[in-house]
Amino acid sequence: MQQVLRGVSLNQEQMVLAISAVLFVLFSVALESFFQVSNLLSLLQNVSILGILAIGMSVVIIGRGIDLTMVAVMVFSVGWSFSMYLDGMAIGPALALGLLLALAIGAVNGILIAYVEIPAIFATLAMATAISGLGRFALVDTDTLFITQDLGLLGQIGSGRLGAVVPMPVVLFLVLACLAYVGLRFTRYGAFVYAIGDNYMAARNNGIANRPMTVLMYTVSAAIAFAAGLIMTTTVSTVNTKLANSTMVYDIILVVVIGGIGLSGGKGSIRNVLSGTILIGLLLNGMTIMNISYSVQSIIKAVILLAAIIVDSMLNPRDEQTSQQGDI
Amino acid sequence: MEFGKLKTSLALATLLCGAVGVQSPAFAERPDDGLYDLYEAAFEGKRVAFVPISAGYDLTQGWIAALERDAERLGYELQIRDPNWNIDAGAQALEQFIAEEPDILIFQNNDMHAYTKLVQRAMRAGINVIQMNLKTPVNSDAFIGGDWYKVGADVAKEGARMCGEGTSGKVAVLQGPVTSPPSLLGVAGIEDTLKDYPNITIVANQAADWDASKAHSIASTIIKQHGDLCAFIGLWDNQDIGAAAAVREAGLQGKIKVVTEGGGNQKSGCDNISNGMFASYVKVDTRDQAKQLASVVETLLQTDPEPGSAPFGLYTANTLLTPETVTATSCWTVDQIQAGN
Amino acid sequence: MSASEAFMRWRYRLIPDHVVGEILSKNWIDNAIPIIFLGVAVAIFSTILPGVMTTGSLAILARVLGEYLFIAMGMTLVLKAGGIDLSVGSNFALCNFGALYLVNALGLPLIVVIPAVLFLGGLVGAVNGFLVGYLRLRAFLTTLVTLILVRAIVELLSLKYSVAASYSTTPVPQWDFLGAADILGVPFSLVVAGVVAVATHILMTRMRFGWHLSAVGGSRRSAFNIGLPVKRIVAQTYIFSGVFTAAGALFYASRLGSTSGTVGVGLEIIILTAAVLGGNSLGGGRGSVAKTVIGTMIVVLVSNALIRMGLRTGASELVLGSIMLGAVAIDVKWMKNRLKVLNKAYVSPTFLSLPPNPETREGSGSVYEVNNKLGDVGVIGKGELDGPEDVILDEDDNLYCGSRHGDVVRFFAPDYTRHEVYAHIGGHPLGMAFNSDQELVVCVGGMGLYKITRDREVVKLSDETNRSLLSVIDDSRMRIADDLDIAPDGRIFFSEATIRYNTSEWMLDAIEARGNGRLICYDPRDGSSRTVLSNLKFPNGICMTDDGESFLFAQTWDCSITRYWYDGPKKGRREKIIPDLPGYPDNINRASDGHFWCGLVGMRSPTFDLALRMPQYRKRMVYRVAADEWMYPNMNFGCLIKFDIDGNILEVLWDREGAKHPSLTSIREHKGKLYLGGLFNDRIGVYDIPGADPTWTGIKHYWGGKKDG
Repeated sequence: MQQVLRGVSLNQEQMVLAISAVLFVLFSVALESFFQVSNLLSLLQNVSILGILAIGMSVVIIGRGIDLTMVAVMVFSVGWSFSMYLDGMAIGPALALGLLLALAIGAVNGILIAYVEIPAIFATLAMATAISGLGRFALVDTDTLFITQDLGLLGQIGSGRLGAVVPMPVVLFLVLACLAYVGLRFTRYGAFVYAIGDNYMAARNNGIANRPMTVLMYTVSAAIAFAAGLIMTTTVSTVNTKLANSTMVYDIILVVVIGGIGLSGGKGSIRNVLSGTILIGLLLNGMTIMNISYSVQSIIKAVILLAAIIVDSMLNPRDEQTSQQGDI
Repeated sequence: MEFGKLKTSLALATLLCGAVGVQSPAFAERPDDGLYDLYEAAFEGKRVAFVPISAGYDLTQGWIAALERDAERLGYELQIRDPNWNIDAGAQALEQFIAEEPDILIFQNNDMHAYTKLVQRAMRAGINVIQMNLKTPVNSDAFIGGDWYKVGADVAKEGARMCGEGTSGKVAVLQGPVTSPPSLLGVAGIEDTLKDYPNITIVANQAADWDASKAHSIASTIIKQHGDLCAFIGLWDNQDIGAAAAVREAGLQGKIKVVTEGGGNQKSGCDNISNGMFASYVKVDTRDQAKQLASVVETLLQTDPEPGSAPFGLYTANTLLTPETVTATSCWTVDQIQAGN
Repeated sequence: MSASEAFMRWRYRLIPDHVVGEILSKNWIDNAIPIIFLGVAVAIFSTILPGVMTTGSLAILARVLGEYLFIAMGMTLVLKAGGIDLSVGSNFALCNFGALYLVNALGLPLIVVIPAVLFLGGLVGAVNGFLVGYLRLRAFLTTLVTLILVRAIVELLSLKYSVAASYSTTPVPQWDFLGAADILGVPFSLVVAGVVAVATHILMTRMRFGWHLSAVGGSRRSAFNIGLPVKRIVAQTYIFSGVFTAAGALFYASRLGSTSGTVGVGLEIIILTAAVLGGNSLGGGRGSVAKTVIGTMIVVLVSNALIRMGLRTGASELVLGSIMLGAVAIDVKWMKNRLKVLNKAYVSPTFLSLPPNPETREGSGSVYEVNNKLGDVGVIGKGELDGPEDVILDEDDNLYCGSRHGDVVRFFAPDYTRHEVYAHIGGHPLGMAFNSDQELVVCVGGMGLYKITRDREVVKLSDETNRSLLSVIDDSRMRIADDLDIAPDGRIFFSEATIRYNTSEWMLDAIEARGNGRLICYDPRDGSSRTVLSNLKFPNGICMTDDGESFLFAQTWDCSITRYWYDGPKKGRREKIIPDLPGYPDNINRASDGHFWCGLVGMRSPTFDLALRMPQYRKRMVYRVAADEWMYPNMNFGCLIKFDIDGNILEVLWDREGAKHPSLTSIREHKGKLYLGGLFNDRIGVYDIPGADPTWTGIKHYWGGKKDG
């Protein structure tokens, strides 16, 4: 079983793309309303926020971390900005403050993980709870913020269309993906992220400043979360803070893992995020067109995530002799 | 005899207060009309407790504003414990209050049956209980809130009106948690009413749990599944704004109507009616409810009846708002309620 | 003595610095932090929230506590084996829903409902267990996914069935009893949780399964390598967690009867906080029911108080999240640094001012003047021995000595070339003496006082004494019993060098220079042991005088020899007969001319004498310098002295070149020869004493009259 899977493992990304292609063809043939430009564009638009968040998550996961605060950061940093805006502050300073908050939270995450040495998964889980609490306690005083004013050019970020055809969120998703790709592939810092994720101790012994780099990773993911939140808010004109309590963050992990980025770090690239996003988009769109109800869709999503984790662990099996103690 | 004593002690107290210059002289010299002194004394040292579902949204903020205003005016103590949507935390808060024995316990019940036993316990402990907006099957001293069956019927009628001839007649229902009173009663109202409109079909009936983001996901799914959908019939504006956003994202604003119900808050209600997010809106006016709640508290503190001995209800009247009928005064803001408007 | 030295002497006499390290070394210190936290929380909340501690208020807490305890105990088992179970919140919601549906919609009796719900919870646990245990998936992510999956299932079910499940037309009194009943004022749920907690405690600490859990959590690899069924054990913990969660859900369902979508949301965070706050370690190995109970109490108290304070929305989440971060941060740092801190904090130097060091230089005219009398001693067993701390000879001239490997070795007379293991005891046999029955009595470092009968059978005489009242560490067990002698009436007086260190770390006691040692008397008539003298500075070298009512002993770090009357008119008196030796005395033994021999294991040096007067200097050294670089007393070069009962030095023997026998710990005179032992030596030295009685043997001299053949 493992040998068979390992034979395929060289091409996991291609495997995902192949499945996507098969699904695409199947849906196009079987579902009449699928293969239409409007549907395909809305397919992309529906997953673009998820895709953007997945870019941030993938940076952290490649560096052998995980960031469960992304949704909470997204909701409350942007929520705070718009809350101040609605109270009369100019939009520019309000957004700047929100971005600063996001960066600060990212830095705190990084410090907790790198310096206090709390396991990433636990630090960010607890931070997500604390941020949701802080947000509702001090930053945003209602569950839902309605932005009824016209945001002008800023509103175009979410609801505009490039050349009146391609929705701006899709464009921005692709732009951010390119930026992240270049950052990870062609800069020194990108190489450091891979090195840290691949072998933390070896990276340290080679003189890489692991701890500051870790802080940087979480700051980047928080900044990306802020960007995603801004796009989302300008798309739907509301900030719904209850989103922070939802299972959305697990959908982000789903995209990253399904795209083929191993949770043990050091592997994968932004291309995997793209394939994962497309596959999830296809599945959601197909299930929707097939008239599967929302609750059943969540179940199917969870089962797919489980399958992805099982396959991931079979491709990168953990050995009794070499696995790390306390690695949960 | 009793009166005399009370009066002398009051006079003595006011005299003392006046001597140290704490109270205003007007109070000290006020003539009694036979009731006022009793009225004034009825609120002294009284405690009113309120456990909302969450203090974080427009309805509860409206009620709290009115209560706070009266608490300050009349001089009773208002305690609010916010379980933030958590039923267990709400039960703990209620149990704590029962142990502390306030004079009046007000609560809002997200789940039809969850607090039933607690209501009975509170009344046995001698506390007057007011149920706010969402009622349990047990009667307490007072219920103030929407007539959810009629609300369901009204939104259904509006949905039917919008989806008459020339449309597909397909509607989708978005309810809250299925065991929440507005869902339980409201959906019954919707279904019973729509029986009279054979051209209307309910293509989906899903629970968005009062959550806008969930409503958004459900609505965008339904929109894709039924491209010719005519209307969403929802049961709360805070939730249905998610559905309206999904409609707008799909570029179908105006084609798919969102009919909803709400407390008539300016931001979540009227603003969204004006900008076309909601095509029709059944207002269960929170402003009225807030005033009624404050009055009921004011009354019960004076009459102090045996708990549950004479239950009464104040069912809020429904008002219809559409983009055509909405005016600057159709809705309220928390600040207005706070200020007494 | 200067004023500052006087101050220092009193400061170190009055303030017991060593207690800090001793407290830190206690196992219960792990629980002390959460208990203090609980105390602080109780103090704060009962001050700012009057009425928190009333019975009515506590009953509410107790009901919630009972429900949470079940889930937290399940989590404890999972954490102990190195896993984590995030699906408890959803599983709780599922079981809550299942119970309400079975009771309200189907009207089934409790005898069916309870097992069915427990089975349902166990089933979810089994899925987790299969995935994490057998498929070796990562626990965190896997249970995260089952959290989503089960939550979605609950949502789907509640859409269809929750109206039916939420209310029963016919009330079921037994069902209401579960959630509402009190037994002696304690909620039924808490009573059951208490019983289950005791059972779980027994399971975890007294039964095979619990030990296996600790093994897997402590070191999964080692557990696998010794053949434990690691996968099965891990899987079982998740099933336990599932069943316990179901039990909690049963009580909850009965109490509230709510099928709301918010049931169990975020519960996993609360439970994890409780478990970690109590001191259960993430990543496994450390955890107990007691810790969980404390942690759960804190969490229930804090979250309830936050509700009561009526703070703004979000405050409780904020506080809970922050507490969890703080608890985990302390946990991580504590686990990482505990041993390091303990090692440093445990060594606690104190003030010791020794009298002036006597001159030993050649030609100085001092009694201790260096010579080379030991320059050509004979050698026995060279290269075959390892650490013969003490030597003794029997009536037949056979020679016995101890070894570092726990053996007592016998060399055969007359040439001492052949040897055998006379008896294996274990530990490190140190001081030896023959009793009146010719049985060898041995002080064994690390074990206690033992006797080897003439049939070579090893008999334990004593390994514990009375525990002193105020000692933080358990001083009833013996750590380094090092020398003994036997009174004419058969009572055995022996010394324990230190109660703070084990045999392998005895040199650390020198850095402290505190009176950590004691003298113990073992009475063979009733087998009892009791401490005679305590607070001695590494006592050593017990040797009976001939008066039958006193003995001599040396205090190594104090460089002194003391006479102590254990009987007779002067009973209980102590007299320091030599207060100022130039080195560190070890064993004392009788000489044929009625005087005493004593070996000095090392010589004093001015630097270390100075360091002894500067305890802060030594403390800094321990904190800042690696242990290998610490300053220890000289243990490489000593000498042999002969003194009389009044403390006059009669003779000094040196090995000036250091070639044959530079360091010695014991001496034994036998038939005109002196046999020399040394703790670090690989041989026994033999020295011909000029003019000594060639027939005198210690055993005959001491037991002569009573010997029966």
